[in-house]
Amino acid sequence: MESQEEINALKEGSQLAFNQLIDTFSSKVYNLSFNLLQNQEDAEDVTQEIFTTVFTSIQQFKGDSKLSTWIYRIAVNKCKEHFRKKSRKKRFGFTISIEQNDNAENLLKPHLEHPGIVLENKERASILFAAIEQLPENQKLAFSMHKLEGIPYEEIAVILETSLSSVESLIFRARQNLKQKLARYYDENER
Amino acid sequence: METKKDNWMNTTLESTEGLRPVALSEQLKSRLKNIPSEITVFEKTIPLSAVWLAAASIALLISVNVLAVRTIKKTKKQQETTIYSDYFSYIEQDL
Repeated sequence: MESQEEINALKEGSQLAFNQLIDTFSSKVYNLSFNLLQNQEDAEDVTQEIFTTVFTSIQQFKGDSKLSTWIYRIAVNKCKEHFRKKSRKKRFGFTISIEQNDNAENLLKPHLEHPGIVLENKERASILFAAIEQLPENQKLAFSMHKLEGIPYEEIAVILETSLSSVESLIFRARQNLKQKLARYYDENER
Repeated sequence: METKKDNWMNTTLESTEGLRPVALSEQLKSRLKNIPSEITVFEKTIPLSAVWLAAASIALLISVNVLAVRTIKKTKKQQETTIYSDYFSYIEQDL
């Protein structure tokens, strides 16, 4: 799905080419969205938004990067938009009191039963996902893309429009942060 | 030596190893494949001329409102000036 012919067909609005694009990338994009948003319904909605944007903006694809990288970049931007919408809702929500914020936001609340995790790891993975959710945005994106999607550092750098060393540093800091969060969780729950 | 806590943390950090991709529902896949026809239908049902007509009507409505407010303000000012000048000319007559 990376050939110039296929891309030209997409630009001409061919339904066949778009179907092929969906067959090739929908699973990857959905899984990336699901792992980042940690919610099936949100992932489905965002996946639809991503492919709508792909369809309407394909004319702007210049071929400077791989088509998959360009699609991942749209996916990451849509997920970022979703995080921001969600945090705005939280900030203005009446249900969260100021008193609650400091303590409650640091607590890990495992909630995701990821269907792709092997049974014996389900419980621990759920704790890890809760910790990932609390990471700063760019650390969460870089760590999830590398660890959960297996995207190489070089491609993550292109997707996030940053340098390779920044990606390395983001993933290193994400691991450190996760270790701290897990240590706290262990002290409070597992000991 | 690795403590129990370190061991727990490391296994938790590696708990996503062997993660399998989540299968996409057929319903979502068909929704995705329908995107081009939905967008085309939208473009077909709402012609560009109609969009421009709506935009022009809104612009006209706003202009008329601005004009009306300005005229009302101007008339009020004129009325106030007339009242004041009538009053002062009345006092002057008395004197």
